[in-house]
Amino acid sequence: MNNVPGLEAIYRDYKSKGVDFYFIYKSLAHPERDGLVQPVTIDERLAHIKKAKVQLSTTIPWIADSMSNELKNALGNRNNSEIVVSPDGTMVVARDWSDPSALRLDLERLVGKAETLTEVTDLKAQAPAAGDGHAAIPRGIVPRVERPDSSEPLIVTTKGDEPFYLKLRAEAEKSVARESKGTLHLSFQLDPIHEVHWNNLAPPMRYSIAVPEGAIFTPSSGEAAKVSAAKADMDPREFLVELDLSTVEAGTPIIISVDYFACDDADRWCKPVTQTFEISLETDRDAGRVQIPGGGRGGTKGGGMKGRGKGSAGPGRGMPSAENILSRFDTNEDGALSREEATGPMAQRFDQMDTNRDGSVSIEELEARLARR
Amino acid sequence: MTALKFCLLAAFGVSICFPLSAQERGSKGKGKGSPMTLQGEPLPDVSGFDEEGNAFPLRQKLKGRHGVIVFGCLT
Repeated sequence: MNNVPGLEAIYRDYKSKGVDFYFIYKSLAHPERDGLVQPVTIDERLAHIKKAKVQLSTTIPWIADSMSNELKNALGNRNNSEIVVSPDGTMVVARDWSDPSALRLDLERLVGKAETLTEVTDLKAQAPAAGDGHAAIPRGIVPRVERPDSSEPLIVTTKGDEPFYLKLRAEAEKSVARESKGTLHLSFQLDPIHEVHWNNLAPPMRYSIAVPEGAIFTPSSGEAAKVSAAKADMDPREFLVELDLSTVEAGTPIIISVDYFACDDADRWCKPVTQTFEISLETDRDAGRVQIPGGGRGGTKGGGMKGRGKGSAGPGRGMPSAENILSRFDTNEDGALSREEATGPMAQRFDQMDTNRDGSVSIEELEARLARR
Repeated sequence: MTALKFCLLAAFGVSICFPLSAQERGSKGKGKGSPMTLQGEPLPDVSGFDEEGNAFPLRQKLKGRHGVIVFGCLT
C-alpha cells in the first residue's frame, strides 16, 4: 500500500470538513510476502490491522472485512480500490486502484478545498517496522516444493480450537476441479501473527488424510524432513499428493489431520498440537496470489532454487515478461487475466491465448503465447 | 526520472507500451486507477468489523456524510 502516506495527508485535511475515511482490511493479496499468512479468523484479521497501523504509520481508522469477504466481493473485488460515497449513500467515485492525487481533486469538487494542504513530506517519517517481528527465527532453510503448473488455490477450512497456529494453503491442478484427479500441493505454514515457530528438536510434523472409500491419495500421509540446520524455523512444510476422487461422491471434502510441535517465540512454552483441515475441491477466489521473491510464484521441485523468476524461459531483452503483463493488467490480482481485464490487442486475441478455454489466461498461457514470437 | 517502458509488439500484433515505474502505475491508462462499474450505484448494505471487533454496517455508519473507503492489506 504505497498510497498510504498520500491518503493520510488527505485525511488530515478533510476529516475536519466532515469527510469520514476508512481503510478496509481485506484478505491478503499476496500471502507469504513478508512471511504473512492468510488469516482464517476475524481476530487474526484484527491482529493484522494492529500491525498495519504501526507498519504503515497511519491514523485512518480500519474496518476488517468479514471472513466471508463480504465487503471486498460487494464492492468490486479489487485489492486497492478507492470509493467515495456521497451523503445520500451513492458511490460517486469508484476507481479500481487508489490514487491520492485524483482523490484530493474529487474531494475539492465534492466538498470544497481544504483549509490546509498537508503534503506527504509534512508527515512525520517513521521507519517501517520489520516484516513480521520474528527476525531471530530463521527462514529459507527448508527447500520449497514447487506447485503444479496452472494450480489454483482451493477452499480450506480450519477446524478445531483456536488459536490456529498452523495454516494450510492447498493448491491443485485445474484438472482436479474438472476431473477430481491430479496433483495436490499442500503447504503447511505457521502463522507469525501467533508468534510461534517449529520446534526442530521434536519429531517433525506429520499429516494424515482421512481417505473416503474409493478414493486414492498417494501418499495419504507424510512426515516433513527433519531439519538439522536450526533448532527452530518458520519455513512452510510442503508436500505433493496425487489424488483420484473420481469414484467418490462430488463435494466430498478432503479431511487432513496434522500433528506438530510448536514453541512460542518468547520461549514460554513448547507443546504438541493437533489440527484438522477440510479441503473443498473448489477454487478459493479470495486466497490471493503467492509470489515468492526471486522465484516467481512457484518454488522448487526437489529442492533447488529455480522457479519462474530469473533464468526461466521468458521473452527477449526489452520485451515484457508474462509476469510484467500480468502485474499490469491483472487488476484483481488473482493471477490470471479475465476477458474484462484483457484490453487492447490482448482482448482481440483472448480466445487464442486461452488455450484451455476456461475463460481466463493464466501466466503459463501468457508465457506460451510470448514464446511463439 | 523517465519511466522505463516496455512494449508488446510481436506477441499481440500491434504495439502497446506501458510504464513500469511504481509512481506511474495506478494513475494512468486503462489499467489501475480506472473507474469501476460501481460508480453511480448505491453503497450496498454490507458490514465489516471495527478495530475492536464490533459489527460495522458501512452504509449506516456513513449515512449523511461524505465517506472515503480504501481497500488494502499488508501484502
